[in-house]
Amino acid sequence: MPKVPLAVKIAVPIVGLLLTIGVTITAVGILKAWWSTPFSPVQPSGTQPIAFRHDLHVIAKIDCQFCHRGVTLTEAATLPSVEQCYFCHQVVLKDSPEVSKIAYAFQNGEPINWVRVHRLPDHVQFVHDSHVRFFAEQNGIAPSQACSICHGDVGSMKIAEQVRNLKMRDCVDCHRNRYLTYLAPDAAQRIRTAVVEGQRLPPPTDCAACHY
Amino acid sequence: MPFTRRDFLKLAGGSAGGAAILAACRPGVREFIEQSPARLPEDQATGTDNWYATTCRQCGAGCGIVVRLVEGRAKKIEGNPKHPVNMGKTCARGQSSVQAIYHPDRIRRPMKATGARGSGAFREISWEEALNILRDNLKGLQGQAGTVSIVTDPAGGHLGGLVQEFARAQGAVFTQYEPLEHSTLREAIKRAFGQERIPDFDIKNAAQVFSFGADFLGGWVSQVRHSRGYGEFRQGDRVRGALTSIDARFSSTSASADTWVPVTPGAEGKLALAMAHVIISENLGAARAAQALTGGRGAAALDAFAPDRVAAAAGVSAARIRELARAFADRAHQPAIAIGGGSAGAHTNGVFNLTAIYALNHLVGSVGVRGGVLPNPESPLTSLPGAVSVRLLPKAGGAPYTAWKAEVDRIRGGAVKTLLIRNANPVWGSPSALDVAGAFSRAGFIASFSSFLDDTTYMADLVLPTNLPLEDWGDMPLDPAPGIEAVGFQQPVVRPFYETRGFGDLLLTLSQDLGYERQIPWTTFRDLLRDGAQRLYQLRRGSINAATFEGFWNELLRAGGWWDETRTGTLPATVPLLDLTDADAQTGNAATYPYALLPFESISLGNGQLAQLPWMQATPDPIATTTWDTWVEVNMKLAEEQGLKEGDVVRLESPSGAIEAAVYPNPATPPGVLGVPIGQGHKAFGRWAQGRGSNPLAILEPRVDAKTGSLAWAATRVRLVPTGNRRRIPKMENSVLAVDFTKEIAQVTPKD
Amino acid sequence: MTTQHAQSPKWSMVVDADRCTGCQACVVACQAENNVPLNTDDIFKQKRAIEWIRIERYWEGEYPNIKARFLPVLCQHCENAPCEPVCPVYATYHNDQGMNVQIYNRCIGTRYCANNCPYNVRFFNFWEPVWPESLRNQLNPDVTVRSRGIMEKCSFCIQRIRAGTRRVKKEGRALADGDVVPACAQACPTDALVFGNMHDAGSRVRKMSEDKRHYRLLERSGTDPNVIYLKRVDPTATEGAGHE
Repeated sequence: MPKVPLAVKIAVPIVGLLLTIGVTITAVGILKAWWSTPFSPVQPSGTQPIAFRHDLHVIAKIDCQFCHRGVTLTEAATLPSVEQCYFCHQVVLKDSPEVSKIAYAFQNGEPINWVRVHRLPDHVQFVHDSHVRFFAEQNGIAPSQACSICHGDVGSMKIAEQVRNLKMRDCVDCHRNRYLTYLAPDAAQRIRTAVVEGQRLPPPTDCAACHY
Repeated sequence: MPFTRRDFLKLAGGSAGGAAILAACRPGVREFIEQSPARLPEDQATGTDNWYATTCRQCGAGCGIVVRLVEGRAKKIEGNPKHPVNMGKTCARGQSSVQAIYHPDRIRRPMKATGARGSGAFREISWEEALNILRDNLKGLQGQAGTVSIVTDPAGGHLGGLVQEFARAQGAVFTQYEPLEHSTLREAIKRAFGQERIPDFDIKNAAQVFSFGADFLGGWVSQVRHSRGYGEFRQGDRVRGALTSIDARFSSTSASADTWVPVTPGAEGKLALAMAHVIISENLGAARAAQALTGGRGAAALDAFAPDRVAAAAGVSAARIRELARAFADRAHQPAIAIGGGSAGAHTNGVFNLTAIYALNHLVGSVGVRGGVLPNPESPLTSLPGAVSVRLLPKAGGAPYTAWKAEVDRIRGGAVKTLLIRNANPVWGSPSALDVAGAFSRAGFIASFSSFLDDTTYMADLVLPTNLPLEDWGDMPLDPAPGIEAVGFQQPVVRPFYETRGFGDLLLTLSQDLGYERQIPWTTFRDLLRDGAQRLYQLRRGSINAATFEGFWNELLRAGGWWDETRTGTLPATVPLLDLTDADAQTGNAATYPYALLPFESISLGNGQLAQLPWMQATPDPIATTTWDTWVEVNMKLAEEQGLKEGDVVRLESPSGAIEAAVYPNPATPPGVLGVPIGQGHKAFGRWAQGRGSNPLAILEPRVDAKTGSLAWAATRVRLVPTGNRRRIPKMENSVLAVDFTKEIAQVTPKD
Repeated sequence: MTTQHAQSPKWSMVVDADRCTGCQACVVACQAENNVPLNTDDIFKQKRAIEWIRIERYWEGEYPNIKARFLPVLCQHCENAPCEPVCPVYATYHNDQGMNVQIYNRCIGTRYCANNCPYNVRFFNFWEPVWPESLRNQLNPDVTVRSRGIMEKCSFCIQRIRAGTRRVKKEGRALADGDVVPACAQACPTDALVFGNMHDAGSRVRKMSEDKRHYRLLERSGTDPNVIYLKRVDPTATEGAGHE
């Protein structure tokens, strides 16, 4: 058995250790980056400044669009302004301690700093109105019923939380074929035929459809 | 904070954003309180966009703009397509007005000086305390005429009227200040066309434009309107128009011209008269106008200005002058417009120069004709509303130098106990020979109403931060108007970003407290504007057709103004007699000061008022492509002879002082001329302007135009002393490492 | 939803050099619209200023018979783009609307594309862009802020193309000329920049591209740009001047 020089005896484990540390750091970094950007669905949605109850508003038969009024108009669903909350809540439940925070914000001209629940990374441009209108038109339903495809049954949530992971794969899968599964069978067939015959464009899968 | 009717409608009806620009323009009275998305720093606020119309105040042109708002934040400026001045377009400066709102060095709340005057030590105080200080101060001076001096930037319209009325009630002296004012231009226009209003140049329909010193494509008077016309003039649906630039410096306009004629600074008027001499003696133009201009004597009256006699003084050969005159009067290429301004009017013979230039329009019959010089009608709003007396609104425009000097001397003499300054920066903009800072240090008390801590506000004892134009109400009787009656209106499109207030509102608050309600019965500036708008409504004509005043008001704000295309201007039928006095320009001693210093208005910084904005600092000069610095344009050959290279720092010495600037060898600069951009050299004015470059206005000799007393800012001579230092000039030229395919890139063709 | 045969538009720009006065309105409008980082003086001195559209100024002749020629230069959106094949991660490619697009999240910053671009219209972010906190309020939410190490360039204001297309769809009509205007063309006071759909036979760009003054930058190199220039007219020039 050849004699191994002392230097090698010392160097090998050190190099090995360094390699292991390097690989671990890289792996942790990659995993962390993957899970934290854009976000992880397992993350809790944080404490909101006002204990806003989505379920109660849904039970009260308030349409999603009544508060998120940008949803059929623009890219963003938009959060309601303080004035809009106060518009109802200057009368409704105005003595509740949580609701009175709205009155305070309104009277002092302060915004309510809601903690954001759904966040896409900066380099993704998601457009609410096109999506909502597509599903609503094809299924013949109210736009707000289309929301649950991505946002889940908000009506059963005390505090809104994220239900889908909303990663790029989720988006692309849907754009490639899954979008048809959310439609009524006859609507799905109609669209499938139109796409095959070149009458309409399929949902875009061009990178620049969302990334710009 | 009560709900207004509009809030209710907006909430109940939902909003209709995202439509085409004007369809969604609306009066932007108050936005809803911003929501949290923007509080998340890594996020950009997203939301519904809204577009609001208002009037741009980055220069005096009064272009109509629409501002894009997302969640209450101003994002982008675009031209208002329906506005008669700019027809949907904007310039670089206009684009930058959103940046001012969010500038990190804006003054956020009122401040009181704590150290010695000019030390820059301030303490923030409440609005209540600030107004108390100011009110007590003014109260103590009531009834003592002339103890209060009010200096503002050009404030026409109702704001100007309000300041004037406030000054009258207080017994104060009111002066409008701007570094390079247009009094010689107005005087010349008055002499040439019989009315003071600047006419509308119908460049779009002209066959030829001769520009004498007026950089009308580069910031002179109404850049966007001129450029709009210029595009059509070149490549509209008719024969391509020809542009000749007669300018002592190679300006943006000279660069776009087919022919550039470098002329000796100050000799523009003589050159114009030499052209007139040729036109009259060769009988090329309108005979009747020639008779009137010369008092019936014909070319003989102008014999002193025959081409051969003028050639040497103007630096243009007699043959060339004849060529120019024949081209200008060429009957196959009419109408031809002669425009004069800029450095041509900034000499001791400024009015003489400009009058001679504008008289050329009479000679070729292009006054009052399509494609010529179109007279402007009087603004429909000339006085403050109310029946107390006829209170004429002041014209927006700086006082001529002599008037300004008189006021500064009064302040220096200690007659002024309180000085109120609004948005004017004379400490920076006046020649150092006047020593404004020294004079101001003798004022008893200085209060400055300003959005930024500029050189003048730095000297204030009390600083009252005011709203920026996009946060404030206002109106603008357009001068020059676009050939028709037009008034621009300005509404707050965003809430004030900091604890700032409108200058108009502040004056009204003070008026109430000081007991001037009888003369000034309004409580908010918006009320005053509404009263003014009421009179437009009662005209029952023009662009807005509404059954009620409320409807009219909303439409007025939605459209950004009111105009009546059927009301054009008229001119007196007579052609004036030419005044041939003061023909010679006085400048310094050419032996000791060999170069003529030509300061020029920067296309981005204006006359220094936009130096605080990083977008404007970073905008390359069209010719030199330089940014962020003060450079001196030196003729390339001359620089070579003197051993000067780009970036060599030289001292420009005039009898009134010296500044340093970096040499930019420019192949198009005439050898006897040094061009220096105006705008830099601020001692204060936010992080991006402070201590940057130098200010050519500081070393101007206090010469004035003989007829108006206006500062002859192009009549200073300097010498050039190398300092041995060098610095790199930040510029765009050669910044991208392009392969030299110049010829292939910028192709030209002789034929249309 | 459209029922006729679906065809993508082909976006194109015509630059009339005879109208351009070099006024820089397009440059600032572009920076305001596209969240271009602040170009400080140091950045200029290092020759790393980012201007998606820039005005080039060329001298011709000698004093006093000297001419300056202005030419706005932006990404030419070449049909045969030299930048595309060299990108190892497909961060830049040609999409079905005639545009050369840059996908920021794919870009790893090799800068091969910029080196291969003959027009030098690609810009690298050598630093993380910084804006003072208050200035961030001006940023356009429709455009990604590019971080350090990423290549960027003119996108033909793709966010406006997207918004315009959506608006048209919502209104249930076909794209018309003028539905999409990029920030530079919107601002241009002389109308030297005109943008539109080359597939639309009635569009202004289509008509202008047939003008006899038309040419493309570095035509010989075969990049086949979607930006078409119209020659500056100079009655004093001789025929053929300016050509190589």
